[in-house]
Amino acid sequence: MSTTYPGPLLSVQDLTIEVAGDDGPVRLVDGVTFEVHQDEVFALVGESGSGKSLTVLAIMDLLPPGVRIASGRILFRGRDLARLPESEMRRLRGKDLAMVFQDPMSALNPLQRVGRQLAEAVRLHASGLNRRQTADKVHSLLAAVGVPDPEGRAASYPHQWSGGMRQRAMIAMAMAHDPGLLIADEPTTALDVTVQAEVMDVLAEARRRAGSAMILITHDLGLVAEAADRVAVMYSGRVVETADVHRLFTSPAHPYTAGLLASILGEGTAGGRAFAIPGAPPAAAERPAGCAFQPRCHLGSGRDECTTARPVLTLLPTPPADADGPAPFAGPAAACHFAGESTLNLLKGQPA
Amino acid sequence: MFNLDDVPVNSAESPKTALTLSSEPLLQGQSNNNFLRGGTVPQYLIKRTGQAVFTLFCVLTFAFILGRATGKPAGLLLPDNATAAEVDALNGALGFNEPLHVQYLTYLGNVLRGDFGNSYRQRESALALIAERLPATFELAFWSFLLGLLLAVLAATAIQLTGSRTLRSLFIWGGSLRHSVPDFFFALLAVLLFSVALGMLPSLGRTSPASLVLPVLTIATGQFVLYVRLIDAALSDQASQDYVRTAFSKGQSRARVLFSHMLPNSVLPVLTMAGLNLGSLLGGTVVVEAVFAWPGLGQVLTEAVSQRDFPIVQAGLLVVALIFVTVNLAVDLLAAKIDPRVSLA
Repeated sequence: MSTTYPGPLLSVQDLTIEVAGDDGPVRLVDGVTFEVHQDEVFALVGESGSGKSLTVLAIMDLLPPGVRIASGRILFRGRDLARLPESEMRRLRGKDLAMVFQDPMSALNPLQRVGRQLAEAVRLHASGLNRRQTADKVHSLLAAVGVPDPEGRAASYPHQWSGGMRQRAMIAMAMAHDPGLLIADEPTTALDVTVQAEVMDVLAEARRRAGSAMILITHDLGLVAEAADRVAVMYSGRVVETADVHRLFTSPAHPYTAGLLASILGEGTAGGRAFAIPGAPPAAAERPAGCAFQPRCHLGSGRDECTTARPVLTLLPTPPADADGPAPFAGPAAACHFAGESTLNLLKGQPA
Repeated sequence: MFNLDDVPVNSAESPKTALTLSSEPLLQGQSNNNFLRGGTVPQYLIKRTGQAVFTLFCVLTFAFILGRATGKPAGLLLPDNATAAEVDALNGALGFNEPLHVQYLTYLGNVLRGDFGNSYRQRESALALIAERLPATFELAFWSFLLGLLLAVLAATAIQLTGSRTLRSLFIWGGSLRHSVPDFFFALLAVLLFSVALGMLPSLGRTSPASLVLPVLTIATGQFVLYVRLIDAALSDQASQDYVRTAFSKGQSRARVLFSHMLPNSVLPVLTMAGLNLGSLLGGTVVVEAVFAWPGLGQVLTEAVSQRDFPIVQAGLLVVALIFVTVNLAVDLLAAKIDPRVSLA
């Protein structure tokens, strides 16, 4: 497995995921395209139901029954995961592709000791290890994510672990073979606020040590600003904007991104009313013909283009002076007919 | 792409055990909550033994009341031409002319001393007569239970591994068809085919290991569909659990996930039901024993009831109740052994 593949580590191209509905297939994810590069943290942001989790489950080939990839490619180091046979996929899963799930309370088998579950992950891709070596590896994995008394803890059951500790165990499990790509699906959402930051630090540290790239799914924009290099914003099964973190936060081009940023509680909203984007996202089966965001958009009301033509992800002009930080791999892009127009008003707290 | 289960999960409620799940997550606790080290087992056993004694007392009392409610036994024991005076004399000799509460207390006193009296007909110890039937009943119950469960596990495993709805329908439809045929009728058909037409297997009695085949087949196939439904529902429920997805995300194969995660975790919901079933099989299978002249508990009990042979009925019911209580206790202990979250209380 070459780790020096010249192109992007992961390239998702026009990925469409469908589920059978009463009136034919329903597109849950509709033509999603993005790239993740070696060693970067790529955040996937959006509301519940926007298709973030399905997108990464498709990468892992772990879509729930009945949900399938209808079209598109998922190139991982140049190999299309969407067309890989299960036996090949199994060799990647847990080794080059690893995932940390949202709810650590249910992600571990309640009837097996934690150590045994980690050992399973260790041994699957390292067949030569004997019992002693496997146990040592498990203990060092647990120690690396800050679990105190790894030997004792490995011999206990998940219900004897707190939520934060369980998520550390899940991270240890995912890092068992230093995966090229680590996927973290809302890794701290189910945890107590007090331990969220700790677990996020553990995750970031583990990723750095292994040199993995990471896809971080979250709806916490604060977390994105802290942890991510680049961001894709998803809305109703589509990517509506992608940019590096700095650009996304300072000059969002899509009105949805601008709305999300404006709804962050901060000094500006203290004592006043928080901003909320009016309305709710459409169900996947009732997505409008044009722009899916149009019914909720302050730019789109009354404009024919928005109701009839679906906007495609288009590269945005990059200001030449924007040179702090590493050079972005792919230019910023947004899927809006009127990208950039008057979004800044929102940020100043003046919803149009 | 794997479709472990493309059929909606059967929403069969998993039967609840009498045990409680400890809902409180231990934070950072170093305690190893394995119940065997918790020192709670002796207390639990004492409590359960107390409950068992009470249950057995109730069974004894009911056996007494129901028996007395059907009348005195001498009329059935003596020949048809016996005089009323003879009948009354025998009833008196057996103690049936005493006031009811005296009879009851005498009976309880005797039982506490381990004396169930002698059978009215065979003039032997009732308990000994029951005990000599136990091996036959246990043999039949054990093999039927094992075969029914084994077939069901194989079928449910095949359904999950192939993800085939056709296979599921086939097993459940076939099993339901068998289940809907009364055992005695199925047994007669089996005898007609294997004993009369093919002459392969004995049809009556308990003379050789081959005598076991037809009765075991009758009971096992009858119970098959119950277990298939139960295990299939439990496995389908496990298939949608997050921890199964975690196992797949490690790169584990479908078969290994099924055998090392889903099947062991499906034992709990199946265990209670299987325990109840085993208990009732061990208590004797009246119909099947009657058809195959199998010399088991069920046979001796039905005979004793129809002949008002009260000592046998009372001893038999107590033994059956004891078996039931023991199996249920074993099931609960086993559940606690399997599930570390279960605390015995």
